[in-house]
Amino acid sequence: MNILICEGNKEANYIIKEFKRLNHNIVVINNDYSISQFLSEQNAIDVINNDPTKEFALENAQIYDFDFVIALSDSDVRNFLICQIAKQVFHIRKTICLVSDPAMVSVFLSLGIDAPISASRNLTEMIKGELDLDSIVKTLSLENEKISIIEVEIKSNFDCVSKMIKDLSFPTSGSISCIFRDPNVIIPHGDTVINSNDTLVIVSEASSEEEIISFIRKGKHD
Amino acid sequence: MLKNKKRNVLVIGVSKLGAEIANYESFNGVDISIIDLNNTAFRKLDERFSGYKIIGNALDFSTLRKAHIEEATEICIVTNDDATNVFLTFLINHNYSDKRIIVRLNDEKKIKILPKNENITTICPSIYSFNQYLEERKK
Repeated sequence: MNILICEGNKEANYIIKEFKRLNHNIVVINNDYSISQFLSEQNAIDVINNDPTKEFALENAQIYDFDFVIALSDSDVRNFLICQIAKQVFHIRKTICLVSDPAMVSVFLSLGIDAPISASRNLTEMIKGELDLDSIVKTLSLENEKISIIEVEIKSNFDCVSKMIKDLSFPTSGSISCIFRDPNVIIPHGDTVINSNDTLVIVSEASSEEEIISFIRKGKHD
Repeated sequence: MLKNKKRNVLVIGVSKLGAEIANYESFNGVDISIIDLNNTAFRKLDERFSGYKIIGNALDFSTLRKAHIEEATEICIVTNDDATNVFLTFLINHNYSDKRIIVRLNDEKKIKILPKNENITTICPSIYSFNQYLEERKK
């Protein structure tokens, strides 16, 4: 894939390393001279030291019809501008950018940015996930919190233990995608029986997350 | 914009241009509000300026509401930063596509990425300066 990475510092460095390892074609533009040097030395690549909000800078970078642009500047409005130019002038297929203000995620989505990412929101979600560890449930949100992936450890006192999935009347807004029964991974069917100590991986609508967690833990459909 | 409706102008950014517009419209009896992040920027306004001054970040919708954006018939987006002006044009056009927007862009290359809406007009200093140059040459 062809990926344009604009601005950013350490996070850009990590992303470049990772995409390089996966053999993607990367073009990096950074307006800061010393960061450009750092990124270039760290990754043994050419970094264009120029302002990615200027059309001529992107023009020189030859990034027409690239697959992705990733804008990592500290400024939300600069990231917005980079994405709009990339999309409208250079026809880059998907625009991904960092937003510092979590409230901007939905605004950016409504204004045509494909994937605005709020680091602080994601961090908060992960911390919340860690705090949930005691209650043996971990959750992960995808597609801007429309989809949840729930990981639940089954305790012997749960109502679903020793029952077949088809007999559970499991909420229709979610589905058990995978069961981890050490050391095996089982792709479940209707007649798969749930055991104590299984770990269920459930994909659900984010709005039904609570309902599904309480269903598994209590076994009654509330 | 309805011709018989009283004009109500919201200026975003007390740049030199923003202050010029705000003073002019205020002297002509137009209802006017002006927003800037920075309190000291308002010094550019004339002491006879009689509109609302709002200190706040226009990227935050609550600031725009405080500046009575709902009642504005025209919005002049004239901060000194093109990225801010482009974003605000998208944001305001998305929420109030029937309002007239006048936006200043220093880089004329960015005009083409603005939303396509006949209510949006761009002011581009380099284009005006060049036209002025051509006029001067004729003399």
